[in-house]
Amino acid sequence: MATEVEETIKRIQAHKGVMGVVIVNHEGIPIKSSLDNATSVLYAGLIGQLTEKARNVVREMDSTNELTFLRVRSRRHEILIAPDREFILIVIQNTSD
Amino acid sequence: MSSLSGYDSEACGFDSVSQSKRLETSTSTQTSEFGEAGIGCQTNFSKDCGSLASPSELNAEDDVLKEYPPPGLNAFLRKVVPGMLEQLDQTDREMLYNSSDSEEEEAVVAKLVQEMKVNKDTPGLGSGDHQTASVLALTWSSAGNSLAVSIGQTQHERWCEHEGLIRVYTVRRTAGDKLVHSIDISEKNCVTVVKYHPSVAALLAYATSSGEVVLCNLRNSGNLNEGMQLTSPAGCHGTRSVSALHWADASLANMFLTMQIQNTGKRRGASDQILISAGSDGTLNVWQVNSNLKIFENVVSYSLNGSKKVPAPDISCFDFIKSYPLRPCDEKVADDVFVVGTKSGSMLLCQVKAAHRIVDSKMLDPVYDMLDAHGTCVLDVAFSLQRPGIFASVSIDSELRVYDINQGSPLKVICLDVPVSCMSWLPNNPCVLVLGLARADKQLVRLYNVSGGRTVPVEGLAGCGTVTAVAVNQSGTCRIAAGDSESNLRIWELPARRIRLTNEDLEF
Repeated sequence: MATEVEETIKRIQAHKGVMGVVIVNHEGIPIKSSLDNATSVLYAGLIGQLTEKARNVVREMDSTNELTFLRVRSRRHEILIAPDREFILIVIQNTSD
Repeated sequence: MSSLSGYDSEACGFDSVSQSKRLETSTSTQTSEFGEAGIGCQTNFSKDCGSLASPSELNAEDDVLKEYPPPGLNAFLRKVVPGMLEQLDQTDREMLYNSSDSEEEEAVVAKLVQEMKVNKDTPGLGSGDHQTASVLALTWSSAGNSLAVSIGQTQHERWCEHEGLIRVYTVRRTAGDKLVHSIDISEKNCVTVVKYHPSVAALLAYATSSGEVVLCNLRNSGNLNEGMQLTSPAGCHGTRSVSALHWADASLANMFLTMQIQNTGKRRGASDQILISAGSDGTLNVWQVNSNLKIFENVVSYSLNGSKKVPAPDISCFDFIKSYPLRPCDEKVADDVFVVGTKSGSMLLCQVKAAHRIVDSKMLDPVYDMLDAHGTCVLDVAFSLQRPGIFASVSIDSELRVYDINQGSPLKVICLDVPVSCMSWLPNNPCVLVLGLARADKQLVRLYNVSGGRTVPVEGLAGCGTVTAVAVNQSGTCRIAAGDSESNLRIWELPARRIRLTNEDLEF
């Protein structure tokens, strides 16, 4: 079963420009990551907070609505966030070239 | 009772006070201070451990940890990964088109990486003439790590009396990845054209204004003056100027080498190459060359319109169709077609296999069709690198035309607002041409989208002068080299991927 997760991460990582993939559980703990430990924890913590905030914003505006995807684009990177109730999938992509 | 003594048996007590004094000792164990002399230590070591988990929760966590992946993770990934991949694809497209919210095309910025005067330390060049030497031709090596520049005179009163010079520049890491002058090759006459082999990096061919075609193997550059140059037999091209050279690609070379085997019965060498030269006398020679075995033999000579009673055309340029074996069936085109542009403006469509014999001559006439002619001298012609059978041509009257070999009239005729001197297709782009401008006052090189008929906005190509030669190399980065009539050489790095393409451009 674990291989399915590994394969999925590999598939995402094979995409051009992808620098890292992190899966975070509902407690904000990175349970699977292709990055080093410290970076994974950093992303998990910060992105977890941001996702929660964005989720609340969407809900505040329309209680029947739900956050499905979040993209954070910066000069160097783009962070793609797919949130769900139990987990958050974070993909960090290089956009500088 | 009588036996009892008269002493009173009443017990009496007394204080047991010892008379002897002892020293008072204290054995307290509550040490309030501890001191150690001679050992100093300021290290504070603290460790805080906190846990809010109840024992029952800890047991639950253990269960989760034992189970990997956590329940629901696979279902979560199956749900979100398709969307994630879709988003990643979207990012790719945005990066390719450099998409922005505005519809206006964003200017691409070319970076001038090097600018130099190539006629430095060449006192003999252009002697007997008051003209300054110009860059006549440029060629990048296949790997993009070497650039050969021909310097000489563009105009000759009757015949060329100038010395020719080729300067070879090589990219040096120690010089900050810049081009550094490595060797000079001198000639008795101006070198009109230089061409590196498209895959064998050390092979450099050049041709002169006196009709000579020469092959150099730069790997043996130390012995360059000791007979390592192979020269065509004397008198080819009627000792008139050679205007264009072309290295045959693998399939075309195979065709000519097979022809040579059939004609002469000689075996071909593994490293035999085919070089094609065209001259002002209207002839086109195909050479079998091999620098290792010192072979420089004529395979076939073509005389354009030789079978017709018309004057021989003064060839100014030619190009062979690009063949790609993996093209789909409906896009397959003849792989032996070439087009010739002349100084009178005519465009001759030729075919190797359909060439017919000329009476009383060993030469063949390959012309099978004439396309609608330019009004004036055709400066350059180049087949598209991506679209089979499509080619572009520019003439001295600033007319840019796009032709299809299957129809006589041009697909597009674009009148440019600036005088043009040379052109090249931009590699990895279906429809953008790099144009060298003559008498430029703002921009030396212009990128032109022939599909949309518009100039591609590029910043950083500024300068004034007359560009006489342009060469583009795409090995890693896209580098444009442009030489001008004042012997200035400029090299720009162009972020070619940032050029925005519409759907029509991609289908061009």
